[in-house]
Order: sequence, then structure tokens, then C-alpha cells
Amino acid sequence: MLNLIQADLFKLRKSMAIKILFSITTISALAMTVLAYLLEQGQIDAGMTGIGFMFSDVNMVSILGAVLAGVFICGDFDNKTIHDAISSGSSRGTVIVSKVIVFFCGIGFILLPYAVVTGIALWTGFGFNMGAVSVGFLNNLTQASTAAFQASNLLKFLLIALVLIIVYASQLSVCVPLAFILKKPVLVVPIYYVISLLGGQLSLLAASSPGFNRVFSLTPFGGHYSFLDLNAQTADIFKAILVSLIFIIIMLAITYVAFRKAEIK
Amino acid sequence: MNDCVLKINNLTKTYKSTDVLHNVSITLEAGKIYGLIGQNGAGKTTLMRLIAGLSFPKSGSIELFGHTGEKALQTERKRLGSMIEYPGLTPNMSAGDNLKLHRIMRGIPNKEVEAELLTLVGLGGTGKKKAKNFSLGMKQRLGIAIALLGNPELLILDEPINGLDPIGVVEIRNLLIKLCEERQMTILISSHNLPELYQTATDYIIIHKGEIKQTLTLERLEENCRHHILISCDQPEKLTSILEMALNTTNYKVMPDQSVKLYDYLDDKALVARLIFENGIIVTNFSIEGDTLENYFISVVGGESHA
Repeated sequence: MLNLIQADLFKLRKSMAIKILFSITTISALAMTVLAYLLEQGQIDAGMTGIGFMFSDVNMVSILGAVLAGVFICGDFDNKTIHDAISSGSSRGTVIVSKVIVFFCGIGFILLPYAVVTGIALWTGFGFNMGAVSVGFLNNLTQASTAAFQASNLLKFLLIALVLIIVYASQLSVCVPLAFILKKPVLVVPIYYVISLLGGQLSLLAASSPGFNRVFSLTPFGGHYSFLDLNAQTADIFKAILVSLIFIIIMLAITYVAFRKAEIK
Repeated sequence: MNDCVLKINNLTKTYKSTDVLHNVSITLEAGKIYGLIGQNGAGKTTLMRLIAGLSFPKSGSIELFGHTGEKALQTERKRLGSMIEYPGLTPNMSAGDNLKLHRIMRGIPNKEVEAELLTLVGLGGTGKKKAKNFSLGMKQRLGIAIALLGNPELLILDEPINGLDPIGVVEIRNLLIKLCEERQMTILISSHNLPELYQTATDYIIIHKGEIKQTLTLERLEENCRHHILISCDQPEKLTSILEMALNTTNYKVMPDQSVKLYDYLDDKALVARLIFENGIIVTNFSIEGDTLENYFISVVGGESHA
């Protein structure tokens, strides 16, 4: 498996797509932060929050993460890298796990600008605001602006950033069975985007239905896991990690069942 | 050397209730080049995909290097190199990077093998040129280089000379023959190009509509294709003595059905016929036989001769 992971990391390093995605998230992270700052300062209209949300991590990752799955997993069906791995003796389970590990590394990489920019922004002590649309790192910016960011918070922020990346990775793990089954990026990207939009709508439903909320909290889309901030309790962080990891394992199991005896064309 | 590299027993593969392979049984021995001949849709690629583990059979078994069973096959496939349908390349990478990717994937530590293989397949000077800008022939060469990574004992190549120019065809042919001779590599090649296969393969597997129609050696194929006078008569022993004494030739062969194949006097059939007649032999068949490779293939798969 290590060989496959190393090979995929080499491929990721040589990939133009990952560089483009990283550039987009870097620019978006900066744009999100600047807009949140200007909004807090009252220099732009409150109606600009929609634009701010467009640049936010939760929106970007739901598109670009699926694009990454499309390029990285579906692309390997086109390039026959997966064929070669199997015909040269790798098990299908190994192929899936190695792909998922490197896919998650890629997600972590493209989310890195949001973590760094948010961390730096908080360090400055300036105020930020994006109103009700704040989720993920954008939520951290907004929430922390109400209290001064202290050096002692740095470690906790790093932990929160890591957990948020895990939560996003878990949400995006839905793309793994989609990519292995459909094998077409043109299908994976829109389907996942619809799923992420649906996740947002179901959150509203969960807010009004405690029964549904309990069920929805068992997925990384629910349970306010994307709203973790510096005020989060240890139990919340632990639960977010646990739910995310279990969800990833379920997605891996679904992928394995679907791919174990599939024809690879 | 007759070690069995691959043994396939009664393999059947079904797509949507249609048998694309039906009870296929073949055995590949070490150090031979097998030409897999068949029309489009005959089942060549399906057979190769099954061997490579990209597809699963409905019934039957595959034994690779003496091992059978899914787990064992998976392990034994590490001794296999393949290029099936079209070469699997990462378009935005150079030839060297493509080889490096596959070398890492197979856990081969020796970095020098990349340059060696590129030189071997004639891509030594491609530098940083990306694979997406390669010609079809260059892609085929790179695909073969990738298949050769790790010095496989069984090499499976599906239409490897597609897109190659005439010089490239000769180079790849010589390379395959060299690999077979020097490294005792067993090679299974499918091709539509029968004359080309004729110059490369040592053994032939003719497949048609999912069934193996014939397996034969090069010698046997040459024998079957060689032009001759086929004589069937009531006294084959007397016939052979006439051929030796009156026509001074031993260039004939008595077949199991007692017919005689005479490889001389093709330009003087009248002389042969007259001698047979004058010696009181009753002839039931007297015809010129022998085929081109294409016509022989057509006759085996049940089509009409185009001679």
C-alpha cells in the first residue's frame, strides 16, 4: 500500500490540477477574509455576505473537493493507473484505501490556505463578520472577533482547523464511492454539490426536529460539526472526529462492496 | 524449458447473458511468444483482462505460475506486465515521469531502470515532452516500457504495434524476440496483423467468437500454410515408393488419414499425375493445397477462403 500512496503523492505533486485548486483556495481565503473585515468595518453593504459565502471554505470545498475526487480518482480510471495497480498485484481494497488517503491529503492541502489565512487574521486582532452565513473557518473568523485571540488559543485553533479538515474530508468521502462507481468527474462534481446543498437544507430541518437532528448528527453534515470554533468543548471536538471517522469507514466499505467485483474498463 | 506459466481451464465469461468467452482452455509455457489471433470481438482482450484481474470469469479457473485462487493470483500478478487495449499514461507527465510513477507504484527501488527502459523502447531522447503530445506510436512504446517494469516473467500485450511506423514495428518485434530469448520471458501478444505475428510468435492461439479454435506451433502453422500437392489414393505406400524412385524426391509427408502431401513438382503436376496413373493407382483426390496466413486463419475460423 505504501508504494501506491507514494506513487499517488508523486502524481499529486506533478499535477497541474492540484496547483490550480490550491491557487483558487488561496485567493478565495484571502477574498473571504478581506470581505469579512470590510463588512465588520461597515465599508461594504451587508448584502455582500452572499459574495463572502461564495469564497468561504465550505462552499469552495464542496466544489473543489469533488473536482479533486474527479481528477484524482476518476482520472486514474482514464489514465489506467488503477488498472495497472490491479494487474500488477495490488488488491482492490488496497487501491481504495491508498486513493482515499492521498485524496484526503489533497483536501488538507487545498484547505491549508483557509487555515493559515484564518489563523493570521485572528492573530491580527482585527474584527471580522460575515453574518449568518458563517460556517467552518469563516465561522471561526466571525466568532473569534467577539473575543481577543490570544497566544494560548493558537494550539486550540490548530486543533479546530485539523478537526474541520477531518469533517470536510468526511463529507467529501461521499465522492469516493461516487468516483469509483461512476468514474466520470462530470457526474461526481454536480452530484456531490447537490448532496452538500441538501446537507445545508437538512441542517435547517434538523434545527426544527430533534428526532431528525439525532439521526443527522450521525453524519458529518449534521451535528454542527462545521461550526466548531475556539469555544468548542472537548466533547464536541471528540464527537466530530468520531462521527467523521466512522462515516469515512462506512463510505470506504460501500466503495469496497461496489468495486470488489466490478469490471474495470 | 517447459515450465507452465499460465494455465486456463474452461474459462467462461458472460456479458449480459451472452458468452463472450466459452470454455476457453490454454496453456502457456515459459520462454515462448504466443500470438493470440482473432477478429474484433473474438474475445482476445476479454481473455487478457481476465488474466490481468481486471475482470472476473463466470466459471473456469486461471492458474498463474502454478497458483490458483483469487488471493494467490493477486500475488502472482506481481510477476506479470501488461498493456491491454491502450497504454495507461498520465498525459501531463513526461515519459520519464510516467515510468517513475509506475516504478514507485510497483515498489522497484532501482531508479536507473527508467532510463534503461526508455532507451530500450526508443524513447531515450523525449526529455520533458509530455505524454499527451506523443504520437500513437510513442505512446505504444511507453506503454510497453511500463509493462516491462520489474522484468516480468509473463508479458501481456494487446495490439502492441498499433500506430507504430514500419521501423518501430521491426524494433518492437526484435525487442520482444530478444526478451523472450535472453530473459526466458513468456509473451502473449494479440494482433490483427497476421504477417507481423508470423514473424514474432513461436506459437499461435486462434480464437473466434469466444472459443479457442486452434493452438499450434510456428512449425505446424508453416506446415499447414505451405503449398503442396495433396494426393489421396488407394495405395499410399506404392505412391510414396513411386515418388522416391521415379521422381527422386523425399520431400513429402504421409498424413494420418493416409493422404500424401508432396512439396515438390508444384510446377509439373502433369508429370506426377501421369506417373500415378501409369502405375495403376486409383486417385480420389489430387489438388494444390496451402494457404496464406490470412486464408489459413479464415479457414480455421470457418470463413471462406479469399485466395
